[in-house]
Amino acid sequence: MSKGFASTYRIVLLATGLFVCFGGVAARLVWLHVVDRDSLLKTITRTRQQYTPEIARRGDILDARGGLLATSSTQRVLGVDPLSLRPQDEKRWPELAALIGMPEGELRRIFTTRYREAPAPAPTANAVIDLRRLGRVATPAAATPDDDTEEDAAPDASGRRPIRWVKLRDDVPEKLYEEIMKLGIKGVYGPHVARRAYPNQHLAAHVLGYVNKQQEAAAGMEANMDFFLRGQNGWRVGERDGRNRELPQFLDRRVPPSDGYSVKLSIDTIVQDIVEQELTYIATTYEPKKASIIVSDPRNGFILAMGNYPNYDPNEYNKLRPDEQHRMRNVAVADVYEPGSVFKIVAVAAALEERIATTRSMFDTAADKIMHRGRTIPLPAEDHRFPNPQAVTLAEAVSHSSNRGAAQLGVALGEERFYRYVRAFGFGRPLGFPVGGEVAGLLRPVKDWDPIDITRIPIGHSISATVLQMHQAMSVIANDGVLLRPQVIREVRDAAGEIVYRYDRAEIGRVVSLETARTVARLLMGVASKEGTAAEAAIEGYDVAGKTGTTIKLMDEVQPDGSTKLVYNRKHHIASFVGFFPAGRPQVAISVIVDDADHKAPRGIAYGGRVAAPSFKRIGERLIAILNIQAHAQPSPAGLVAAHQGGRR
Amino acid sequence: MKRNSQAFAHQLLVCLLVTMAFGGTIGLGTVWMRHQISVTAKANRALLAEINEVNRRSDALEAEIRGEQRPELLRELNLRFRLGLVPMNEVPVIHVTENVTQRMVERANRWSFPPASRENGPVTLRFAQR
Repeated sequence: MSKGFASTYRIVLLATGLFVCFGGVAARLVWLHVVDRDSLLKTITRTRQQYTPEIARRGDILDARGGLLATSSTQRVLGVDPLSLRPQDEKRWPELAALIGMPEGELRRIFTTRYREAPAPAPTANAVIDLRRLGRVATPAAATPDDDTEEDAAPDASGRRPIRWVKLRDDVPEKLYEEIMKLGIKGVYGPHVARRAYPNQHLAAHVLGYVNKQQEAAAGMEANMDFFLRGQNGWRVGERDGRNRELPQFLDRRVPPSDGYSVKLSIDTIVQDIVEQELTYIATTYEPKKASIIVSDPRNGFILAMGNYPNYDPNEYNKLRPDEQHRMRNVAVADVYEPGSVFKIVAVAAALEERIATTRSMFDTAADKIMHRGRTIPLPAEDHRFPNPQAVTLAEAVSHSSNRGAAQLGVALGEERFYRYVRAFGFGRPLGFPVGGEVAGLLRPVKDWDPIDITRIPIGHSISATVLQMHQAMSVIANDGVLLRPQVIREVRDAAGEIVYRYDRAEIGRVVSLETARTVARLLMGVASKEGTAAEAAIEGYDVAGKTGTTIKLMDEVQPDGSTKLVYNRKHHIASFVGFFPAGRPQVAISVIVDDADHKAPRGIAYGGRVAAPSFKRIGERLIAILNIQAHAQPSPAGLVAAHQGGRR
Repeated sequence: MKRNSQAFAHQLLVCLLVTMAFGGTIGLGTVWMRHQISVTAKANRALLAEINEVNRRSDALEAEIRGEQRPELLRELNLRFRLGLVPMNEVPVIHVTENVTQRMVERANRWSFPPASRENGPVTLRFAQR
């Protein structure tokens, strides 16, 4: 072997040096990675680790035709950091003010206020301000603008607190934000915030409910189906650099978000629109206190439309004044009323089912008293003058809404039996409607009834029900005697569009037999005939079955001693018409209830036949083409339709 | 056999140099790889952010489109632009109460014998004889 370029001694020295160096590096590495590992990891974790939530997209709410009723969208919360503003951008301030719709003076005031002299807020307030800045906390109506729009930095040497962020507008669409960014004003920016959008505005607002700015479902379907709609937020844990920027290469763990499911309703936007147009017409024409319309398919209990007046726009729920909050109430399920004559269907159906009466039974409507359990009970006044009041058939009693006829049926049934039927028709208990805060109505147990109640409840007095309960009771007749659960949710679909759950017809129970239901339906056809109390509800070419109701309202009256007492006020009525068609093969049930329309009604009394029945007809006629409703071929049995003029109850 | 200590030292030095070169290459390779991982991760994150942004804009646009198609606004535009469009839910329904066959025959004959021809009196047919 040839001699090397250096002496052995030097080479050994160099090699030893190198080994020592490598050994030193290795020892240091062992020290850092093994001995000192925990303390170093703690420091790194504290300073560099970053937890980032990934927000799941909230699912959509769709109508029966797949149209969007509620969807998720993003907006920007635009704000300004006054300390970052540059003098050369000042000439663009007016343009910015015009874009965001803010008075220029107000904008200048915000932009030029750079310090706050006020004392420091409590430490916890900053967190709240942070959330509010991102639009996740609802703005309290009574709060001053400064409370939720400004974020301060730590005070400077002179004790002033520099203002680092002031909200300018919290609902800036992306398109507008782009235009604002084009202005190039340094210090004006805004983070994304998720917002719920209701493209049809007030349409079906009471069914949909709304999601507030904290992204919490506050009412309606949004709240009821929140579990499916909200999805599951994801998160990732990684590291960030010294400038607080995420370092994606150091992603430690990631759980991806799972988007919310979509909920398909049975609400049909076109039918809902027809209903809301009719409500607008009622509101304009009669200026009632409130009104409700429900349209459903009686064969399966699915609600096609549910509208109330007054209404609201869920996009602007937070703009309602405290005195307007009642607009958000779904009065069709959350409010009760005395159903009045519409309720007579219960007594008639029960009497026919129990074979206490037949279609040929006769009633003496001239009698003003009746004996019951050894007592003489006064009968309610009769509103219709029958030509032969001593011999009124059941068909005549129904078509002219005889109070005394219904009262006599109630007495014949007896309290216990009648109560059982009333319960079976769905009164006095919630029907399980998923939204709107459904109430049970008021049906006292028999032991609490006054003796007179057995003559008053059959005519729809001394009992309170929701509009939906009355609607479902009528649907029992349309559905061959079976009470169905009113439903509004059709399907739940996952983010990929696959059906997760499908809702189907849900029976609560059979109330009366098929024969009884069909007999009552035929009797109710007389109501919407030329001779009945609701000739205005008749639809040409179709057999309409229904019942009018005109209820005198219970109102507070001031007594001589200054106290108030609930009394029947004959100047205020609730007009209603509840019916279905075609009577022989029902495809649609419609309820129209108008509360306190007397001041604009013909002759000062809002009769069901005059105020509510025409709305039924208008809605029904428009639904024929939409729902492809076929006229039933079988003619009405002539013998069952009464042939008298007049009568308005 | 005579042991050549210099040769051993040379071998050791060569080994060390090779080790250093190898280690350096591995180190540089690792740095390059980590850089590439970082670049790829950043690109992925940017792509993901872009996808989210597109989805966000798509959602916003869809909501806007649906908002512009709401029935109330369409009715208002119909009136404003005097389009005279009839909503689909106002399709006229004609209830035929008379004999359907007779009605269809009359309707079909309207083309052959329009009302104007009936006003001119009865139709006379003349046949020429040869």
